[in-house]
Amino acid sequence: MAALQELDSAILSADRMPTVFQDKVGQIVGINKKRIYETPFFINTNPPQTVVPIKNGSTSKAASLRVSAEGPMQILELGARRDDANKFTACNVVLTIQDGASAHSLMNAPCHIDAIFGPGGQMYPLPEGLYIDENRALSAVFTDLVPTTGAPPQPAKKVQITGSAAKYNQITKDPTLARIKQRLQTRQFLSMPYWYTFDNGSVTLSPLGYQEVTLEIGFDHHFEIHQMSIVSDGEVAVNIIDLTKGESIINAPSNGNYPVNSRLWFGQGGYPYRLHEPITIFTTQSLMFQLQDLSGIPYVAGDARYPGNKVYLVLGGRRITVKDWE
Amino acid sequence: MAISEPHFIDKFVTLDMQTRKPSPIIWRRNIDPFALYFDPQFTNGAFVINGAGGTPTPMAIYKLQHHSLEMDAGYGNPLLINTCTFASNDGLAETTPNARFTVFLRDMGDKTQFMNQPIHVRTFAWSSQLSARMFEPLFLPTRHVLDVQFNKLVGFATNVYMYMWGQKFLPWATDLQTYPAAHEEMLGVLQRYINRRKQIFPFWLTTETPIQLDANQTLEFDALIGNDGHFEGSHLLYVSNGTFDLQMYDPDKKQTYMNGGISNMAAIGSAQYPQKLAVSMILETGRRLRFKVTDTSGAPNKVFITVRGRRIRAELKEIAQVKKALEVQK
Repeated sequence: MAALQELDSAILSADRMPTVFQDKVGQIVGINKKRIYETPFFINTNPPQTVVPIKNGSTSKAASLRVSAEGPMQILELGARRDDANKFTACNVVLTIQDGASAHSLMNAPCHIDAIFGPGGQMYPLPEGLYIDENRALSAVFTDLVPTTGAPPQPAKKVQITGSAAKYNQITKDPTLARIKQRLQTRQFLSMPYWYTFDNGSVTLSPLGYQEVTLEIGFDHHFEIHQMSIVSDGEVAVNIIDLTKGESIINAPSNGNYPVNSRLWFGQGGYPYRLHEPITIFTTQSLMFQLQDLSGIPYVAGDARYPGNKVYLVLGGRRITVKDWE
Repeated sequence: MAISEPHFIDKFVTLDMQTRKPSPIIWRRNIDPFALYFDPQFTNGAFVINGAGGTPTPMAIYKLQHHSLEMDAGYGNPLLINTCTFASNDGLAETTPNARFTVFLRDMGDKTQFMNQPIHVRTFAWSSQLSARMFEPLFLPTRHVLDVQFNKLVGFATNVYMYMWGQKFLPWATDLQTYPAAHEEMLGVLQRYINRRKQIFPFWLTTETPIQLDANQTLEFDALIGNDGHFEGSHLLYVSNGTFDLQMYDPDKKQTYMNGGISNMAAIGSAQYPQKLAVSMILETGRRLRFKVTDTSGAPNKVFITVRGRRIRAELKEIAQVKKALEVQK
């Protein structure tokens, strides 16, 4: 009886279906036939080419990760090829969901590719799966961050990204799969993956300099911080203050040493630092970032020889539609 | 016994529902961590893999010692293996990150092989810092033997140390003899593992023939699932000389797993950092998985691709059929 109850519970509550059914003496009773229709899928931009060109120092055209006959899917991880030797260099990324006629950005400002994409084997896990289907596509625009100087013609840069997804086939023929699709589709109206970064995308610190940057959460959603990543040219210490409470999100004694070296509590796209418990920042509330340069990299504005310490900091999480709380 | 049941405090302690006091789960305290190494009759130090093109390397054997004391009800001290670590060093160029040999694992007694073809060691095992965890643990009953065939791909002889790590069950432990109920529980757990292992075990799937590409070349290679059960693939791993793009599809069902080539740098891992598939793929018995590999390095490229997962010897069934079978057992 317990086994039957567990089975029913698993089927009704999970987005994922169990694969193997085992009885109480360890024998495998069967493999769930429906699992044949749930498959992994790697979704790319611009098939079959899959590489997006960027003119030197410029912004690319929008590239879509779109499904057609493949069936609805939920993207769970993001990967990117980073290969400076072959022109897959650093860039900023803007991700947008195209839902029918409307478009919704998944970030408040462009994010560094190394902060929200990871390499193979260490792909960036989305805090919330991203649902796409034949009416809903993920779109990406890339901006080159490492312009090559010198005599033209300048070599074009390249980007290759991949989403690791769970795909559902035969959904029109199977009520269980159709139920899963509906659940995923409905959820996306309430909760979506989202990223927050500095309004200008990055902050440049002078040697041993200090800056404060404020960030306000949008008016139509709450934001739940799940993971944090940072890309910087040199060492930097960070503190994040919840301005509503007037205190740091780091739970330390009031005379603690703030800001804290980012190596202690930020990751990168490959392994973002994942909070044990997400932090919810409510709509229109603000966070303040305190940044302290530790690298001493010289900085002169406009002089490429003294670039300073450029910091790209990204909070990954999910946006929760305000209506959900009413 | 699910840990989620309300009277469980953790894996080792439960709440006695009569006395309302914490009570130890005795049988769980008689499981030790254990690392199984090559049988001492083959080596008592590093195992030497002969150089490429030379004398074939002898098979290596892993064998559990059997402690009986007539109290183990014939179960001995089986090992539930879930990770594999290795270190390789020939004193010169070939450290663990550069190891260049293949592994082929079998249980000859059961006539079970755990991979369709030899796979690159770096898609099978890694260091203790990031040990390669199996998708399905391998239950090795006592008196069973694991055979490993190594083959050096390139270069001179190599020393290798390879350990199979897991949980060693001690059904003959004296405190289990003091608590017969706990002893019965452990024997019940072992019997479930013994029943399960007949139908489900770890499996690594790779191409039937080695992948060797010329510069910018595209070729296709098949991996055959075979007739020994269905295959459930969970992780994608590779080793190669250079960058490449990969497409995978089932040529018979026309089922694709990507809408264009994925870069090895963006979406495939190694035993150190395996790339977990968003959901595991079920490949039915008798089918094949085709790999379309394109070199993008611009130079000759040797590629090893492995899909890590498990073999399942059971039928595909609808939920209703499963419920009926479980009801009959009730």
